[in-house]
Amino acid sequence: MADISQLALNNLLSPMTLFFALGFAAGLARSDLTIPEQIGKGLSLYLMLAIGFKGGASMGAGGETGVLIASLIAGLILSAAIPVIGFFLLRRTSRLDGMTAAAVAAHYGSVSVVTFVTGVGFLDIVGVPYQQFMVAVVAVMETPAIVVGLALAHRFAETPSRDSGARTANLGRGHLMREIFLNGSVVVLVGSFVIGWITGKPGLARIEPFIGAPFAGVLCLFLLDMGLVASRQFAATRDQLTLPVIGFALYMPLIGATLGLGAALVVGLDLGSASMLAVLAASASYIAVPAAMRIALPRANAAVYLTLSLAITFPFNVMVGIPLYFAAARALGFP
Amino acid sequence: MKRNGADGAMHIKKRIEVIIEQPASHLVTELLDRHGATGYTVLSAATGRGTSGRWERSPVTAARQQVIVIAVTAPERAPEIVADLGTLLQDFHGVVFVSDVEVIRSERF
Repeated sequence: MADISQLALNNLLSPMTLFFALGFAAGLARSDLTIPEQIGKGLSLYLMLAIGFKGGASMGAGGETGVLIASLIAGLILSAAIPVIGFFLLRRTSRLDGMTAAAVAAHYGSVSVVTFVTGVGFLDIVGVPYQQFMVAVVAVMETPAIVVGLALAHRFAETPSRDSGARTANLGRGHLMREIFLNGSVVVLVGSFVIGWITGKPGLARIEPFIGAPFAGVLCLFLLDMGLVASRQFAATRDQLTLPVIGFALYMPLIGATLGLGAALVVGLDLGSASMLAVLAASASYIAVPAAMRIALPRANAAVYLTLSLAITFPFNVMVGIPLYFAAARALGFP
Repeated sequence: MKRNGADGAMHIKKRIEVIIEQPASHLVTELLDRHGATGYTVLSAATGRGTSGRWERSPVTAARQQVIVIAVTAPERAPEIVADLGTLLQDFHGVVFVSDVEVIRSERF
């Protein structure tokens, strides 16, 4: 118990968490603190590039292939299964309409790359390594949840999505596909991973001064911005959320993390990688999926899914979830 | 030799402004293209409030951001465009304004 407390304290007192808390508090206090939008986007691109490149460059030749493939399959299954669980939980416990519930569920089956990056920062603090191919798992977990969410909406929504879908389907499908598969964050993350894989250790050595030491500081600045964004989103739309729905945003990450740790046991991951799989399964997208849902399910309430994923689940994972999932993985005996 | 508009003649056209969520903005521009609009301008909106609550520009996601699409078109083309925009707004948050505007170089609209 003392060990878990120490982990929680280490996380809460880490620069990343404190800067996030500063941003969140500043937003709630209606400070005019603002990170210029283009700088925020630049920070995001930097983080995706750094994580992706380091992941790809660290991929050894052979050896890890079996675990890599198993991890990718586990990620695909988690991304497809979590929305189903989330959807039926929401339908049973809240009054959300079917379309919004499906859209929310899709968010929780997909992943938050920023939460993943923050988890990497936590592992750095506790000095636990992880398999770099987990970056590839991030990429494969983005999309299946969206497809499953759309299927749930089509099958169970009170106002079938095919009504509005028919009006906009032909016009929106191309853009939806682009949003899903060619979202900027995914392109940079996967592209950097591939480039890192191709260039290997020599490539990493050449750009290490750029993506190594500055990473933690950039993450702090980005989380400061995320805190501002999250708090302002919460303040703008909290009146639209009921207690059961808010509760979902807090317990669904725990369910996801449990499933993630279970999958990690089956695959045979190490402690760091198992923790990261749990973090991914517990996270909820708020970059690519919201925009995709606006096109695919325009009648779903965007204020609900964006507030849940960005303003409740993301802060929960950053401040409480990540060290909790790590502690759980360690308690389960991952090597 | 006189150039078009050099005599200062003004011509009445219809200005159509659409405030719409950014993820759906391509649907508006494609609709305008289909109706033969000769051009349009897309501006980013900073912040605002509507029936779905407050929103503001965000570096994180485009899902809650709004843009303004401005097009000027011949008066006889406007009703069909507006009708189709109305259909679009059954699914997406947004508003449409139509106003009279005077332009030079009528042939460009």
